[in-house]
Amino acid sequence: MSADQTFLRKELQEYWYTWRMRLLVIPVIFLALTGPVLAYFAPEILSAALGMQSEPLPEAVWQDVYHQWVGNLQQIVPFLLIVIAAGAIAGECATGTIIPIVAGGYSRQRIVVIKYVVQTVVGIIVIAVGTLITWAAGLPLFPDIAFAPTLRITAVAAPLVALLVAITTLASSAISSTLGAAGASIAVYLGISGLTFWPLAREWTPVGLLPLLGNAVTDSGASIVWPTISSIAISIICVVAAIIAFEHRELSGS
Amino acid sequence: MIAAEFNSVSKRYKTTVALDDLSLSVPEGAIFGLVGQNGAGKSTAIRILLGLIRASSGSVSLFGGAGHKRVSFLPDVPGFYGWMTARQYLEFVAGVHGGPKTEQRSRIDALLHLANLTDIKTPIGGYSRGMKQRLGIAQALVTAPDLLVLDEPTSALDPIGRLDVLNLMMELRGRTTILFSSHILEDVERVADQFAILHRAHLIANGTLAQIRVTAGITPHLEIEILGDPSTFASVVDQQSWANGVEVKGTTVEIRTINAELAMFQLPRIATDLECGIARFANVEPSLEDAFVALTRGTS
Repeated sequence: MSADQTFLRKELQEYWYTWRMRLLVIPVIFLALTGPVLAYFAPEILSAALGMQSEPLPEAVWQDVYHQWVGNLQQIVPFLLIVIAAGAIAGECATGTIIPIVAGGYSRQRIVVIKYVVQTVVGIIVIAVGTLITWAAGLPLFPDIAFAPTLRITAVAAPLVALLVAITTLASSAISSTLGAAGASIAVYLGISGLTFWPLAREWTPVGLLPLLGNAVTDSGASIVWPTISSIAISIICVVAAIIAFEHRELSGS
Repeated sequence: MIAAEFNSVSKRYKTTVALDDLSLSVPEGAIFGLVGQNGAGKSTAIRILLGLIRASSGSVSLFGGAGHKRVSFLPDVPGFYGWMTARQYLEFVAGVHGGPKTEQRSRIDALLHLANLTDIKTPIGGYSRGMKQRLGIAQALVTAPDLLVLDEPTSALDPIGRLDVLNLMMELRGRTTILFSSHILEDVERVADQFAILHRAHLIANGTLAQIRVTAGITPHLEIEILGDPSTFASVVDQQSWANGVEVKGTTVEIRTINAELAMFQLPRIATDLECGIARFANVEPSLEDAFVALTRGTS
């Protein structure tokens, strides 16, 4: 096993054996399992909440299952991904675990790249699995639920995950505190979310991925090309910047 | 060959100078002790050498820039992945640094035994500080390094653990180059064959213990506690051809000599001739601590 494979394996094991996997997987599975039930009973719950005088609400349809899931993807999952990725480098620097590795000559560049790849791939896989679970959990309640949205949602979510992890990796490399890195990344994500009202940003930048997630439920025909390309380009820039930041970072230990 | 070299290395923070114009060479095969008070610049020097922090000016080199040499490091407070077992951690470090694969398993077994961790199957997160320090030393040795750098390796250990580490370092003599820092001068003197003393970010002495003593202006001497008149005894001693300086300190006469062996034969006779008794007679070899105190006295 090469040095890179050893480090990659450690990253994957760390995800599995520590709080990271539990923090991401348990909420995602919970949301994926409960989303269809919430969508199914939402009209009844709302009617009960609004009282007898209100107009009867239309019955739930299978699209509501995916809309519920997309809402979770926009509002909850990004924060989980950011919190996990924020500690990837800042946490190792703070605890000093990375010091013997760097002192022994293992490249800082490889550390950043491998950590980024693992966080991104795990994030995408978890979202893909969560979307599949949403579909499967929706089947008993909505037998006509379409499968195609699972693929479209995952396709739109993937560049968004890549972008969020890249931004957080940069913050984690440049900011000494894990909390600070998470805070900065959340601020950037909120900024991206806040720009969705601007048509030009929606069309040409990663900002467009957020509304595209909602559009992915029904094939709206909206193009994901530029938001995806710009997300990948910005992700690459962020990872390069993260490498430079980590190369210049002073490792003083715990 | 030079294992590690500092060339006019300085490190400045906003208002603090952590290291000032350090030039130093660590010869291959040496056990090199870097000593100084806390904050003298020892850890800064080590971290610059290992590329963990950047020098403000100057340069460092390892083995003259030869890339194939293995370097390993034990920080003063080593950090570990708490979810790993000791064996998993050693396998990880060995794998990342690409040591010789065939020897890895047997080396890991030997190092776990050495660290007294063979039968411990629990994750490192539950280890005591001493266990972590022992694992840290095993980690530093797992790649069979050409240069082993240890920052305050004994500071967190109990007396037995400290002794084990010092013995281990002595066992490694001739097999690898060791550069270690410590403020426990007794430890350094015990194992190191070369020394550098840092004081307030400056290198103030460097070399073997004999050379450090010369720099400090303290040399081996004889001490005699006289029962009688020490002044008369001192004046007679001072006239001897082998005497190179005599000083009276209360009832004790301190004698520097160019021929200690001859002096030790003749001093009792002089005392007998003067009808003086000898309460104590010692051949005093100044320690590293004596040299350190002499060099830093008045500046602390």
